[in-house]
Amino acid sequence: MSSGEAPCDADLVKAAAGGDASAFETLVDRHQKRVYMISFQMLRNHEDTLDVVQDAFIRAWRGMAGFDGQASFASWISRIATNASIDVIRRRQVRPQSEIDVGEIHPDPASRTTPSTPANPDSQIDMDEIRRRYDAALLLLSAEHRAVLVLKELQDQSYQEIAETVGCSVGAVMSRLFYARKKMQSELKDIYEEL
Amino acid sequence: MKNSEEKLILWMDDAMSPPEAAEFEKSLADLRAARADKEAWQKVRDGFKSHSTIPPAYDRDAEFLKSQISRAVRDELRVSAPRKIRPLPSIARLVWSGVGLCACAALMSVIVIRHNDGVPDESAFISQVIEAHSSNPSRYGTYSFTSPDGRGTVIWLDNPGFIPAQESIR
Repeated sequence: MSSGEAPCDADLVKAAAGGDASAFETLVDRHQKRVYMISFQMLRNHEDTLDVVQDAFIRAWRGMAGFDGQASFASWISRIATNASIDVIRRRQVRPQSEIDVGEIHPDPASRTTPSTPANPDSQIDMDEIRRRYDAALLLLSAEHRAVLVLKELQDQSYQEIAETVGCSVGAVMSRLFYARKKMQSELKDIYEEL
Repeated sequence: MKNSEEKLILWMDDAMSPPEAAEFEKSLADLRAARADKEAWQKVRDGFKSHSTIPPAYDRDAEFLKSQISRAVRDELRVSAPRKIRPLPSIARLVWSGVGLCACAALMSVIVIRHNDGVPDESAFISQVIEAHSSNPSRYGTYSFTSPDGRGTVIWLDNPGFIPAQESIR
């Protein structure tokens, strides 16, 4: 590693495993946004997501000495965040849908994936309504179905990666995807038929 | 051997090789309905992706989140830091400590002995007192002696109420 060159994740992991908090903070800096996205896509609630991200990184710090480095830090922390999110979903399964923080899920105008919408108030209302429908449909899924759907469709992970992340077989991942997609399609039928 | 659900997922994700896909399509009872279903899912997926963006609240709280994580990590580090344990003294250190203490004791003894060289033996005064002691209870037992260095020493015995004037002025 030459001076001035940013250290790679593997070097930072090694330093963090030896108790170097600064190295770990660099890892947090690099991966925080992506970890936030994974959790937010599953939870659809900003406050819960902040808690999960914090919890995931603290768990990672505690487990740093036992991290074998076979997987990348990125996939390891993703796995921790996904499982922490699944735990939160399971805990709040009884929570009424009205408590879901839909006010926080307006897209970032600067985001690359935000559809370019005309600055038309009616159109904006439609977009908000569609977004709410998508969120509501996703929140109807169980924690396991939601996790595989998010990891496959939004994080573009392979079936094998998803299986490793959620700790099940590839066949189980496909089965969960099948049911999750069916559920989403049935909940959003009126929307996509208009598209 | 993949079951029908798994095959359908692979087909919808275009994850099959062309021969596998052709074979799978042949096995479908209603290929047209399956293709419509695939197209519908692609629309749902596109909408799902476009409506799953990062919220503006993240930018507002990103720094705060990072600082919270850093603080928690440093707290954990502080709490879990192993305390410095003082090692047991080695045998050599114990031996040297003993030697040092002995040397100090010897040095102190030499100093004390030299300091007391000019002082007469205390037992000489005591024997004088014992010899001079009178068993007559009517007599005041007040005696004086002169020490070899010239200083007067008054020994007051039998608990008299006063020292006689002729003795006290000596």
